[in-house]
Amino acid sequence: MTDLPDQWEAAPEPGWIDPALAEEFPGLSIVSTTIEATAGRSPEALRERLRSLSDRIGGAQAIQLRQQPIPWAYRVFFRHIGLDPDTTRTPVEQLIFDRIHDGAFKSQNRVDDALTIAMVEVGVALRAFDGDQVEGRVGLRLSAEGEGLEGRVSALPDGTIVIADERRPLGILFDRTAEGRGVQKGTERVLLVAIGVRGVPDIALEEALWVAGSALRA
Amino acid sequence: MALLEHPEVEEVRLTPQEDLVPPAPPEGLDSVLYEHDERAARADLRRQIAAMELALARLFGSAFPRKGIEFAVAGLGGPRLLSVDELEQVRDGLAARIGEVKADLHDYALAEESNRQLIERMTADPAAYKWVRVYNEDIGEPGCKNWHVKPRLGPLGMLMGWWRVKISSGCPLAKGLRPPDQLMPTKRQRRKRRRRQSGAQTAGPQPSAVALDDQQRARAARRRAPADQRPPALWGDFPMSEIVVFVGILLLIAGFFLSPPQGFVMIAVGLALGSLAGLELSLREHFAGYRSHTLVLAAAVGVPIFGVLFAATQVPVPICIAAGLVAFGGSAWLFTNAFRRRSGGALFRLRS
Repeated sequence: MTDLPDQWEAAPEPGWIDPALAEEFPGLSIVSTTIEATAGRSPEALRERLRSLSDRIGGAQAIQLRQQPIPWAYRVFFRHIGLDPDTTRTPVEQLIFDRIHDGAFKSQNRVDDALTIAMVEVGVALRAFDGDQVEGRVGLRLSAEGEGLEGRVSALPDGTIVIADERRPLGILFDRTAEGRGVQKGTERVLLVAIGVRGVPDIALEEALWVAGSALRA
Repeated sequence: MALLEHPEVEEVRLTPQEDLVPPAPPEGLDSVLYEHDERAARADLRRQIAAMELALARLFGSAFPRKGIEFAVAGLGGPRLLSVDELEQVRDGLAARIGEVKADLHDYALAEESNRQLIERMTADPAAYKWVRVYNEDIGEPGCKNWHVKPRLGPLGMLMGWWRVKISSGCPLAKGLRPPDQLMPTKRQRRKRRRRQSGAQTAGPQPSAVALDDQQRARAARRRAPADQRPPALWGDFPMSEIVVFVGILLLIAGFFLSPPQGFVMIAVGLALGSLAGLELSLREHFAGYRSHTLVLAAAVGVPIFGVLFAATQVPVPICIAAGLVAFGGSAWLFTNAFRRRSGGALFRLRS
């Protein structure tokens, strides 16, 4: 592991959780940090890291994955919120599935590659948003009646768990991102968000953000 | 005494059905207490779901590499807060799935045990299980290993009843099948190449890897080309075989019209000439990898041996037959191997 980058701006900031959710799901948490970085093609160092990661992950790890504490915690949480983790895969399981299917972690872009490395290394679910498109702190809450999501024609079903800033939903939890809120061409600040559930230690969330941040700066 | 007895008051007596259902909160009161009861139930259900998810994950791990076992439990359209009923549905779905997976694994275990016993029986008495093949997958293990009952020495072993269990050497390489033998250098070619290369090292600069690769491909293409067309004879385009066959036919025809013993001799010489011409063509095509003539060539070895032993010696007939068959089988095996080496791996090749 390299030393903490000089440009590391701030410690990961804990987000807010709707009291109704916090009461139902003790241990549910969201942590975020903002990194000065742009989207675009991954540098060779990052792609090399991805290749090296591909070599370390194989079928045996994929089979045993769901028995490991952090991936298992996400699977359990998926069941608790009405998702079937074998259909809607948890983020880390989806990455491992793609690795086995494609034969390697395919490089997509700088941000996605950094998230892939951090999620596979630590197992925590991460999301990235355009830091300039987020107002205030991020948190988790239930959607209000008739509330919509940018880029979605119909309103969100009442009570959907969303990642939101202090004004609007940024995306559905473990699902799509609102249009214009994700990392895109022209993004200069990337907001990295780690979602924790019961069974995932806080230090793992911070480590995941740190790994993703350092990979983004590679 | 009256204090220890329940007062018989109609207002507090509940019907048996009502006794099972917690009372709803009174109208107008805050529902916090009532909700709290459900929250506890939901938390309890979530604990059960977590435990069942772990049990299912362990079954998933132990089920590998068996295929066709379903592990999915239908979701309920999230992400959202689930009610008690919905959490119960998830829990029941998990419980049912765990039961089904255990039953599937039990069935697999029975079949795998039966296949393991089959392997033992095959090993003890291969001749009773001719051509039976059991794969690793059939005994619940990963990999491509298999146990196959095959005869020793091919057709000869099949005739003689020399059956054995052959264990495969594992999975094919990830890079695919090895190239045909035509593209693989023989020992002699490798030795020549090494000599050439060692000579070239002292003589001058080495060609680049790309140039070497191009040369190798060109040589391989040159070697491969003749297999697509009939191999030329040693005497080139001169129709030697056709002339010999024609002479043989003339002698045969003439032999039928002449009186013995001159007629018999001519017929015999005619047949010999025709056979020689056919044998030459067979040898040429077989050893060029163009078309296989394994049985003809093997018969050309086995039949004369039988004939010589039968006609010129006092050896009993069964021994003559056995010697002929052994010669036939052995030479068939040798000719098959020779054709396989020269044709790039084919056991036989038929052409119209």
